[in-house]
Amino acid sequence: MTKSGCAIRLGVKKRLGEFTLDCQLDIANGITAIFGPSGSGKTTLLDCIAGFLSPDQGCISKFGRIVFSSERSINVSPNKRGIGYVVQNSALFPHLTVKENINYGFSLTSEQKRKYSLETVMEILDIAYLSERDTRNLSGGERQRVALARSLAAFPDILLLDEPLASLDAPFRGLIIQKLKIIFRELGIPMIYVSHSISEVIALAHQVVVMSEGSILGSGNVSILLRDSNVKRVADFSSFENLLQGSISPVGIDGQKSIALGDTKLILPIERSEGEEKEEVSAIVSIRASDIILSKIKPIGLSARNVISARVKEVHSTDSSVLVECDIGEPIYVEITSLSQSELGIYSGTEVFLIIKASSIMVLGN
Amino acid sequence: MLEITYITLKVAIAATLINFPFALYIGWILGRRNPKGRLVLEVFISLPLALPPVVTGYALLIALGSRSPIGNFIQNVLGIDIIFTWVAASLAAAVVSFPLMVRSIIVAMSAVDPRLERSARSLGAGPMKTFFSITLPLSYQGVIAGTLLGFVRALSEFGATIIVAGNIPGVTQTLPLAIFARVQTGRTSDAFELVAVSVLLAVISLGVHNWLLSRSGSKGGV
Repeated sequence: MTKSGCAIRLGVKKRLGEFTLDCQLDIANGITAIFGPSGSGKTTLLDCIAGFLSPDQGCISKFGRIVFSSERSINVSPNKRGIGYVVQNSALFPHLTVKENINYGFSLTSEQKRKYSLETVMEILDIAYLSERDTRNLSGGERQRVALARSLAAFPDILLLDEPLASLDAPFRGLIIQKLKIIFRELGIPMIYVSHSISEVIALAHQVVVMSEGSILGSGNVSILLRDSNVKRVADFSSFENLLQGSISPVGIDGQKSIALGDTKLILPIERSEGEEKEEVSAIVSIRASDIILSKIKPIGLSARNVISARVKEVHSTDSSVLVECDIGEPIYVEITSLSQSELGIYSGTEVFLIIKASSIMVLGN
Repeated sequence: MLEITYITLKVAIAATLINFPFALYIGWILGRRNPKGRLVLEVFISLPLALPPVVTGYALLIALGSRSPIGNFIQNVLGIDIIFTWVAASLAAAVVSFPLMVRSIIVAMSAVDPRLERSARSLGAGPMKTFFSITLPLSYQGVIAGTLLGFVRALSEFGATIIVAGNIPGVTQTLPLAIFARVQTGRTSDAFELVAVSVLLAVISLGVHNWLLSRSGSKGGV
């Protein structure tokens, strides 16, 4: 099997009461986000791909192999599709231990088809210490890591993720985002990730498919979320957060802790319980777009710890405000009002300073 | 008395064993799937619960009699005469106790989170493997409880049994039938002994049944 080209190619129609799913779609290798408001048919689409729902008509193929075709009466059962599926609530088997859960799919896979070891999976997800535990006593983040490990241990060709972060607290969300990136990098398994959070999609996905009311509004590079006016209609930009990955250095002699994001260093808040770590650790930080202040001249005499120079890459107007995309080695988004934008004269190419209070930066799990 | 107890247990155990695979299957269909004609199936399997057992017995007598295709087949092809044997008593007890058994199994199976079975399927397990590794282990307490409830009902079966199996001492005479015969002939002290055995059997079965139910309740299932 070749991993190049389309991971999933489909054209399906499915009626469910009043709702109709009608999609034509090519999903490339990589991490693909399916984005859309609730009720847009994201989960229905995943269920069709996984084999839990049969489309009324159409065709679905995986790496060129047909798994469903109404015309040719092909409908490969879910257990033979080689498609992993991780759901929001983890759905761990309550009567089995963590290890038994992870072993479930592994033991059903013949030895030739095992592409990596169980230890690799446990190591990537950092769950070896949970092995003997009862699944009932796990935290949300642990449950989701075990669910991911269980799916990976069945060696899927593609992994479907249905809002895997939706029921998690903020720190765990960052951790899972990191793990998903590592899984793709280390194991090369393409992922289809359903989400209604634009911040998550931008932080994680290589490409995005935008859905609304059962059909596809657009697909392509994640930037269409901000550029395509059709897509912007369904996206909720309020409370947009920048989810940025960087490495946190230990508290220095100056008593400061910082995170390096590309070539930029941001000062982080210090929590009381800290001061133990000696090495750099990779982490994801969250900065709300509305917590960043834009200035055209370098401000002085400020209490805010972080003043960073940046260049405006693009200005995206949403229905309620303006999202300014700035470049600090990687994109960071700042939310301002359209009035400030026109008064300050902020356009693509403008040199600006970003002002971020250390306390506005939240470290999400490491 | 020992012989009567033995026949009673033999009939009830056989009835339960006959029912178990069907009850499991129907319980799974109605508890986990949403089949077309669900209402019809539900009414049909619950019918013996609503009908007087004598009516069920009479229906069974006709079905197993030599003039029906089934009866004809059993008698002429298999060469077995089933009416008025302990096998007929088991069948009568099976039919009457089936609804109780299957209803508990439906309740137990419908409490299993369908997402768990879907997860198992996406991990590569076929429908059978999913049933035996996920659905059944997560509903087994309810399944056992239902089976015991059916067993208790089979122990006390009277109306349908007397029609298809008669009341033949040493062959088809179970505890309820023997008690009936003794009371009829005025041997009340003999009857009392058998009543005591009946009560004992029922108390043991119900005790185990309730203990299982309380355990499954405290564990909270999923």
